[in-house]
Amino acid sequence: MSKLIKNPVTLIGVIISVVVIFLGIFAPFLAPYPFEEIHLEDKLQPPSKKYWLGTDQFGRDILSRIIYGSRISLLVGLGGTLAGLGVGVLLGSTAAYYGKAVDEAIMRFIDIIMSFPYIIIAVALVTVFGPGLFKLMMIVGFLTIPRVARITRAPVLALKEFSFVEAARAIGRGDAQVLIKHILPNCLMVILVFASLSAAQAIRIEAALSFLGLGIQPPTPSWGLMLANGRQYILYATWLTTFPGIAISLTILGFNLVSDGLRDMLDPRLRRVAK
Amino acid sequence: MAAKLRHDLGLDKPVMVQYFVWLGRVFRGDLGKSIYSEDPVSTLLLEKAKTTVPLALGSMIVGVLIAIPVGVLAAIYRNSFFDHISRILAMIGACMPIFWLGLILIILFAVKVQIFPPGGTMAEYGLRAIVLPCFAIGFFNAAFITRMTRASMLEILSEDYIRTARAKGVGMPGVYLKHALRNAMLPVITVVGLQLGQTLGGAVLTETVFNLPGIGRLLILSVGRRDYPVIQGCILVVASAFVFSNLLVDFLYSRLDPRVKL
Repeated sequence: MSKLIKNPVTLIGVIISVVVIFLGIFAPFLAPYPFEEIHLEDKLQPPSKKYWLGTDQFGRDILSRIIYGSRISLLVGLGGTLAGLGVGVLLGSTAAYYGKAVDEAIMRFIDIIMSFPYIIIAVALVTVFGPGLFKLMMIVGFLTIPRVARITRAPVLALKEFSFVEAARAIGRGDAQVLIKHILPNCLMVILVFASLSAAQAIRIEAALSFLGLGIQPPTPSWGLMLANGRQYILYATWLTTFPGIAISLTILGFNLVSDGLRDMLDPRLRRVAK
Repeated sequence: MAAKLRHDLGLDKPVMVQYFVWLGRVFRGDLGKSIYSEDPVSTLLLEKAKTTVPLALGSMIVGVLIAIPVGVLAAIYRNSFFDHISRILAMIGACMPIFWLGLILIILFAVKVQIFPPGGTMAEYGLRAIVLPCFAIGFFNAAFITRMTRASMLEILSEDYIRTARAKGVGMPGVYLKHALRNAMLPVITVVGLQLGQTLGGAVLTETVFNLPGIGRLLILSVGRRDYPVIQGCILVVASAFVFSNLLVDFLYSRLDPRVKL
């Protein structure tokens, strides 16, 4: 951990990520107004002392909606990533451990999913299942599965040849026990690196789908939805699009920097695993 | 009546049979008719492709024209001020949502300084209609291509044959352009090809921001209308273009590196 925060760039990423998580958890205490509270007499106000980031077309405080919107981004980003991680790790480790036909079948399925641009799959899934927070988390999770499976497969392929795995089998451990208790703990850091990258991607997907009207539905505050609503007032109320965009970009940047820092920290260990 | 409609549309057949019937029609060029407008889907797609194809190509050209010179110079002048700035901009470009960048470009170049239109068709504004959208997607692509170009150039510049070329008296432009860049391009081409998928996805978002009547916008409108034949047609076209671009990358790779055989 100390190595992680000694790198100044990674430290910035950690600070940004912690701030966003803090905002999400303590939103009701930090937001100056409830996110749905309307002040029609103050609609489309520019940033001021009363409304630090201005108000939207219904007089709702932009700062409050951005703070509450962090909850949605984190729920979809982290929740969807966790869901995808679970299935992806299972598929990737199973493919690598058993090899041959199992590996081929799973990897070809993964290749098919990865042959589509993610936004196209997301749009297709929303068409079938409809919009909504939980469905969005599942869609994001589904999009995470292929990459997690690939990331998990590589180290498992290497680790299953190590003598400690042979020893575990020799003392009578079943396949599931060998995978869960012996192999996967050694892959944990690699998966963790990818998880933070995946969370950033998940936040981007949520914002994109909400912007297109296929994600979070109003009045729930979503940064992507705020951008979409601000479009029609772009000529004279640029703050409606500026601040939600900054929030999305900074959050994605934070998680990406953390991922880069973790990867740099793990490089020597990855080389040892590959040997 | 519902049962008759289901029978007429073939919806009473098993899913796999419906799929192969649809596939057979696709191979004959029949993508069905739009439920919303009753126009043939293939006609709609050909019409919208006149916007999306220039947008996708223009975005790739913008991305490559920005990324390769910047990546090469960042590698040559490693750890210089230029290198640090280019890496920061690449990081920012990679993190910025395409649709937000599009909105910022509209604010800057269509509202504050009215050089380009904020939206509209190529029929109204010609190529000016797609300059901002191309730059929005191109800047996003450039962020990834720049990083790969820089990393690839750095690896090549440390090779022995580069040192040999310098020792033989080859001028620096010759060393960088003739010896280093060609070999550095191999992984860059892979990234450029993969970015085409991002470009096609970005086109969906950018066409919505700039109100361009392309395939991406058609897809989003069709989702709202539950126009399934059009949705299927759009997804088929985009996925096919993505697979085709990956094949093209493999082909280019084999041409640039004689050791690679298809």
